[in-house]
Amino acid sequence: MAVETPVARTAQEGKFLSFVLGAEEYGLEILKVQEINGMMGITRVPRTPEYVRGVINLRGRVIPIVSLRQKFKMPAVADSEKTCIIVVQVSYQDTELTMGIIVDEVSEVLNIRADQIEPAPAFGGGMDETSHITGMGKLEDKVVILLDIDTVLNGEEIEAVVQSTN
Amino acid sequence: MSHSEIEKQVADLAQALVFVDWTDLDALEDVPTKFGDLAAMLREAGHESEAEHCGRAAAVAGQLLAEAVSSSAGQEFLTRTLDALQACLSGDCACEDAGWPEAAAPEPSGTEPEALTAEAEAEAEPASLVDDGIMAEFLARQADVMDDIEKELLAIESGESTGDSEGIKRFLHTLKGESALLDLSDVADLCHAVEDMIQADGIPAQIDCLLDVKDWFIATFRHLRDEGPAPAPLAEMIALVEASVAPVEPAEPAAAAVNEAVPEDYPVVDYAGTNVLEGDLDLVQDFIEEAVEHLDASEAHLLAIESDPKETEALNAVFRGFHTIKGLAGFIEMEHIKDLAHKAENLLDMARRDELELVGNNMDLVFESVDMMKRLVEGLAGAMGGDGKLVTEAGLPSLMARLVGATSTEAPVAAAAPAPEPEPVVPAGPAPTSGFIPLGNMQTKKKAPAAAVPPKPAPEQKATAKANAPAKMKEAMRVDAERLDHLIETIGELVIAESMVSQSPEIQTATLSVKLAKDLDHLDKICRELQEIGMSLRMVPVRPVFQKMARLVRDLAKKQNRQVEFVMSGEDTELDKNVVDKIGDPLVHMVRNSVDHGIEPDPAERVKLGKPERGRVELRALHKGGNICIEIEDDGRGLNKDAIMAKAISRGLLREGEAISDRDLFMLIFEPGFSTAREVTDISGRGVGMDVVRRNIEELRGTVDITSEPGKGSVFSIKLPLTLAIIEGMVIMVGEEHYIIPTLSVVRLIRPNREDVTHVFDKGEMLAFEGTHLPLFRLSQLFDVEGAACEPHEAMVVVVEEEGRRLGLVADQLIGQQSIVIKSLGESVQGTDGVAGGAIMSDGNVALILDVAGLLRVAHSTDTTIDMPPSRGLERSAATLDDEIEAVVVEDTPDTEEIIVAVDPETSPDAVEV
Repeated sequence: MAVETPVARTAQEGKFLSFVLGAEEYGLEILKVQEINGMMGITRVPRTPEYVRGVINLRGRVIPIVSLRQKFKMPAVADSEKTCIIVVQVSYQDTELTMGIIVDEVSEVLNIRADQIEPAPAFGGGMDETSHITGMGKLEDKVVILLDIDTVLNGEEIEAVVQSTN
Repeated sequence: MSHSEIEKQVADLAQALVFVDWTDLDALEDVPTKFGDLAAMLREAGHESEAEHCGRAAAVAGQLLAEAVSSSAGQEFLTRTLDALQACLSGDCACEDAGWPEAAAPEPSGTEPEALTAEAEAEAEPASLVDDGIMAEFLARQADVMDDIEKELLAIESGESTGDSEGIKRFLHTLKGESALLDLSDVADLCHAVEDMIQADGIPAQIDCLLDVKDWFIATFRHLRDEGPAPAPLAEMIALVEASVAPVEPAEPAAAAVNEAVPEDYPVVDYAGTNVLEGDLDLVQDFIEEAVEHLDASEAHLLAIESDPKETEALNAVFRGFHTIKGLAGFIEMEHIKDLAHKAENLLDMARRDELELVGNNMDLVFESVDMMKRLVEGLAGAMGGDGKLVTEAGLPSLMARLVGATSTEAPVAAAAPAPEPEPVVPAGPAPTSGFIPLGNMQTKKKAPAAAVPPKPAPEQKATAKANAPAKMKEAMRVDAERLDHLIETIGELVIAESMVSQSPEIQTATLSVKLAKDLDHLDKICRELQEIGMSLRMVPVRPVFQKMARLVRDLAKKQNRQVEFVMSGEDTELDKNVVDKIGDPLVHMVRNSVDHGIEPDPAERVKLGKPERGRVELRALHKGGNICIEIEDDGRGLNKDAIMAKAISRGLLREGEAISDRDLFMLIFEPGFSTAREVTDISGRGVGMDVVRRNIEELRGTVDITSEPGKGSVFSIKLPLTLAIIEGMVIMVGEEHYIIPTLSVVRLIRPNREDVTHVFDKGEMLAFEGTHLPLFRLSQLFDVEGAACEPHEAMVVVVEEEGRRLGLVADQLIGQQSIVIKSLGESVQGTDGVAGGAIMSDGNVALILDVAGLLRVAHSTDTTIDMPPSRGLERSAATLDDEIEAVVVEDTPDTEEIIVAVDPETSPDAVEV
């Protein structure tokens, strides 16, 4: 049985943007997604956590870019032409932040019904590991891991960065 | 009522009492009523004496509930009563010897039982119909209720509570009903009167009176319990209550008699708790914006009037402002604002028609009205942002009363003698004899002239208006700030896009046709222009802030009885809105200091020094070399150098006899803690809140400077950047990365000679610069940039300075200097130590703006690895430093170069090879 942590929400049925990271396919609520961009020049920001790749110029706005691979502690790979930046709106505390996440490949927009969503699995003591998974979308031919991007990017690391700066 | 039914009731009750938990008051709640019922049944059945005993039991039960008697004593009394009742009813014995508990037998706390019995008898005698049990319970309950009422009233008065007026009304109504039932006609009558009063006025206006009434209730109830003396006669209370309502009723002698000294608070429409969210929010929002504008303008006009009472145009403008607010407030149904505006308008109207002069008290009243109006509007804005409930503004009723007082007493005087006295009314308001002019009358009186004299057309007066009169109004448009920011952002994008095209290698290398080259130039020019316009959109004049200062000086001077003239200039100078918003606080501190401590309190002292009696404080804003300079000058005593010196020495900031320039000495007053010291402020008279001033100004990337001459005065100059959004920056390159260093922090760019750079064992590198040694930092190491030049003499060093500390930064090359539009990096990476923000370069990439202060912090911290989250750059740079610890500098003959040799500590700890 899935352990509900206070942070993790349960996925609601609806449209999800699915993307590939390593061998798995993940899903993001489509309403969180602002746009998808190809890879572009990223300016490194020193003294930030490993997974913060830097900042980009998004049509005049400077937004931070997070590598989801590094965030999930997956081995880094070289950027390919399929590497994408998904620009997402994250609620952080009371504000909406715009951030980019780097993924290996964007696949498609999926329509996932409520009966196709299973609760996130619990891996014993690793409750924290699954806290940003809102559910597993079981489709005919694959399983999509549904992410709560708010908690992914609001981890205590970002908190720590913000804290250390204030 | 049959005998058996009563018996059954008694049995039930007895049973209930056996099982009940006597310490659980809730469980006992209905016990008094049950005894009361029983008493009634007994009386009905003709068992008079039993009924009486039962009534007593009910009273004791009531006291038990109110915790007036101990639970054990009460329990005993009640069970014994029931036992006796049962014995009586079963016919075992006569009523008299059934073993009733003695009234005094259950020895409860204090004298309660006697009092109770006595009271029961006393009440029972004249009004035998009243059940003494019910009465006792009623009285016991009231004590708690009264406490609640008092708490609620005080909360309303202090503005904590928006006023549960319904609760208080309910209470009064219940009390009225109950007391009528219990034959307490006094209480019932008073309740009725108070209800009327609340109906007419609302609670907030009548707190005092309600508290008096509450006290009277308590006294009465205490008297009923025979615990206290008889309260004041009812008639007195009723008179008091009615007197409070008097202002809206036809003038009543009693009212004047009661309130002769203090102007009674004007009955304000009960607006507390009004939910503004129920109305049209857009309308309210518009109203707030417009009202704030009018009020700010009014204040300026009033100050003009004060300095020259003949400023009729300014007076008209103030009048129009209030008139507009009145109309708008009525439109959005903010009755209290409308009322206040109306009253103020009345006063102004009389001034307009020369029926009274706007000096002294009258002027203060108008200023107070403006202030109050501001607070009301703020309250409205606050309510819009919050739960929509309006809160009570405590001073409103009294202000309204004084406004009414000023207009009503002035009227006859003015009518009789067209030239009014210069100092007319004392704040006491209306003379006791005249009383209040009923609202209705006054309105009609005012309406006629107001209607007869339409607002004077401004244009005709323009010609005669003075230069400083607000003759021309620039047309302005209100735009949503978000939309504006969006526009500015888009302009920024356009500019970048344009430069990306025109700077692109393809265009640069291609041979363009003359026409295309010309068009590109044109495009470039338009973009630049657009950028400038975009930047100016956020610029607003500093006037509103300056006006606030004018008001502050006026109030301060008045409070301290000093004569101070306030002069301002350059108030049309424009600054970024953010800067204008933030400059207010520091200015308040500095202006206050100038008036408080700068200007001599005694005019004679000034005359002795050959200065005019009237002190002078000047506030200036001017452009100075790309910056805005705001100066506050006073012609007072000047800073007391000796006192500052003494204080600095006592605080250990200076050594005895240490030479220090005047400027540096004065800057000491900005030291935190230095300012609050009484010794200095008393003697030299400067420094309150000065550290706050400096901090705020530094936040705005500005600087403060002081010049002062003893006996002649001081000048505080604040230098501010025009905008927070743009800085001049030097673009440097390290490896492949671009960084920007704010030009303000750059001292010099040098390409050091080899021998200028020395390595300090295990400390890093030093650069000999102008006779001193500066710590040298390699940005490539700090920020972990690959592919950077490895030796300083191959690269270049930027010497930067912040807060008097210097530091050399090694960069590969200088790209150039340009204006940089600062962009936030977003919350998650914002404020990283050493990085102040980002900027979009002409190629569309983001370059980081270095935060020199942060770099200095990093450089000067002894252990840079502490307090930092794990980060790439840091770990690596720390690692490199560790490596260097194991490196040894070998210096040999002058012609050999410094050579760094990595030493492997394991193999050859001492061996050094060259």
